[in-house]
Amino acid sequence: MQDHQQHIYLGEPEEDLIESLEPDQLVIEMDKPVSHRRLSAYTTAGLWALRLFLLTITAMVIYAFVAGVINTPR
Amino acid sequence: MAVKTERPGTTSTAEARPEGLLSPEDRTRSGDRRRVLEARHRGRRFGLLWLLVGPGILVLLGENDGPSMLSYAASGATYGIGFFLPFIAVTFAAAVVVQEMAMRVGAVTHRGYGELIFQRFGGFWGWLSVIDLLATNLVTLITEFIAIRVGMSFFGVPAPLAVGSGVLLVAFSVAGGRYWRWERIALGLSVFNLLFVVVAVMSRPDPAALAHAFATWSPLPSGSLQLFLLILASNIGATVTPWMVFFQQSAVVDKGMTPRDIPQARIDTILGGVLAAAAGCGALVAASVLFVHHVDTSQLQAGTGFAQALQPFIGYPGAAIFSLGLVEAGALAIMTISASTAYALGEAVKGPHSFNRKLGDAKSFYGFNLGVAIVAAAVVLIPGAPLLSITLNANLLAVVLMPAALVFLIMLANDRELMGPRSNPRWLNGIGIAVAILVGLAGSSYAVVAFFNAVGWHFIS
Repeated sequence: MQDHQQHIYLGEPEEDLIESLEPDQLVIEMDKPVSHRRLSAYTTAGLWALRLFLLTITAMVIYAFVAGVINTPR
Repeated sequence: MAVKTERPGTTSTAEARPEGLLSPEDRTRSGDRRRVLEARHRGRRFGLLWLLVGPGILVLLGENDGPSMLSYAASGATYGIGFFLPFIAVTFAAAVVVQEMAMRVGAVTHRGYGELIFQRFGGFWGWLSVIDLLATNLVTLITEFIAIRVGMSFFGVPAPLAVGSGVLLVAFSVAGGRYWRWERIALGLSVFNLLFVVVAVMSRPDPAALAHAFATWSPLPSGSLQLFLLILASNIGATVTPWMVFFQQSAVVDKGMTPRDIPQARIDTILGGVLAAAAGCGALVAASVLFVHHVDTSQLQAGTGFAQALQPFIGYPGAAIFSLGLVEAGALAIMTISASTAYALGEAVKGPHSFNRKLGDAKSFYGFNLGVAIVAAAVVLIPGAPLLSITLNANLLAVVLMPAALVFLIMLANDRELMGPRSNPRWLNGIGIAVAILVGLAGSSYAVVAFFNAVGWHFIS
């Protein structure tokens, strides 16, 4: 985060330029993280189930891809 | 944005404006925003729209990339214009719904998609999303360079020169230190995506057949189930992919869009969807000439490609325009997909993630942007690399991993603490969930059939 904020210069702002941005659009505001959301047990379980399902499907696609590459005549 | 930040005592009110902390990125963005405010103040509706269009058009025409256009062409060449012509239009409608959510979340929260997942749901889910994105983006970028290589080979350009020019384009586009400049270069390039509409007209399609296809979705595809599922999933992957969500949300933030800009941003997204659907349908219609003349299309995506196959039927000019369209499709996509990678990685490592930074101020952001393009380009130049298989499977990987991105996007768009009154209405959630289920079904259906065929259990072919 500190590296990310090195670009911020202290000094007189150009008021008209600042006025063109919403307050929460300034980099210093956008750098502040939003609060963490606590997921319910059901939501967490659902996300895990989706992730495991997608990993299984991805593995099948990758296997089919590799098998296709091996079996394709050059 | 209604959500609290983690630093106590800070709010997003005008009273809390942190004067004296204007960064160069703020200055660049505020210069662009001032023109928007002036146009709005003076009631210049078209001027305002001109200033605010960009992310929507770019994301949807950017997704009309090399493998996508080849998927549409393969659909037309394999099955004609029956089922897949209206199907493409419907998939773009679904893409517009998804992208509108990403745009709205970005405009309201002023944070990128990856950034919000990290902050709202934690690093575990954040890194999984970024890893998904990196995997699909790298594979897709490889196919973009394949498209550039194949398109330029029609004009006799050697592969290293073709691929190198793609890398140079990315380097040139990111060199300005201003989002507006990058966006306008990409928008200028995106116009040429409509070359596929020109080729479609040159193929002289029967208007009655086009109308019949849209009205009846027929004739229905027949033959191999695996091939049909491959093309079906590829077409879905040609319109709805994870990088699009990452890109549009981050681009909206980088452009400095606010909730007041949402009406124009919706027009931008819908316009992008209409133009992209027209170009996609154009590629399908043009290649359907091959279906009509019973040309074997099984190996067309390798080497010589569709352009040479089309030449006997639409002439050299038509084939040349098709090749130029492929080059454009790949060129625009390497810009947008590299950008989405850089945005996501920048957000993940809490580093700079804006085109409004100067090169020396955001070395990692521009390094990610150019670095991923260079890696993909290098793969394309490896002798004997399975370019055809990579091209065919690039969209599939995106389809398979898309449901996870969609679920998080819907959760963010429904987060009342983040979105306030601009959170999703119930009907939009219904459409979003339906899209996620359909995308998941398409990807998993192909995966199951392809996997069992690959292991030798040919219970269906």
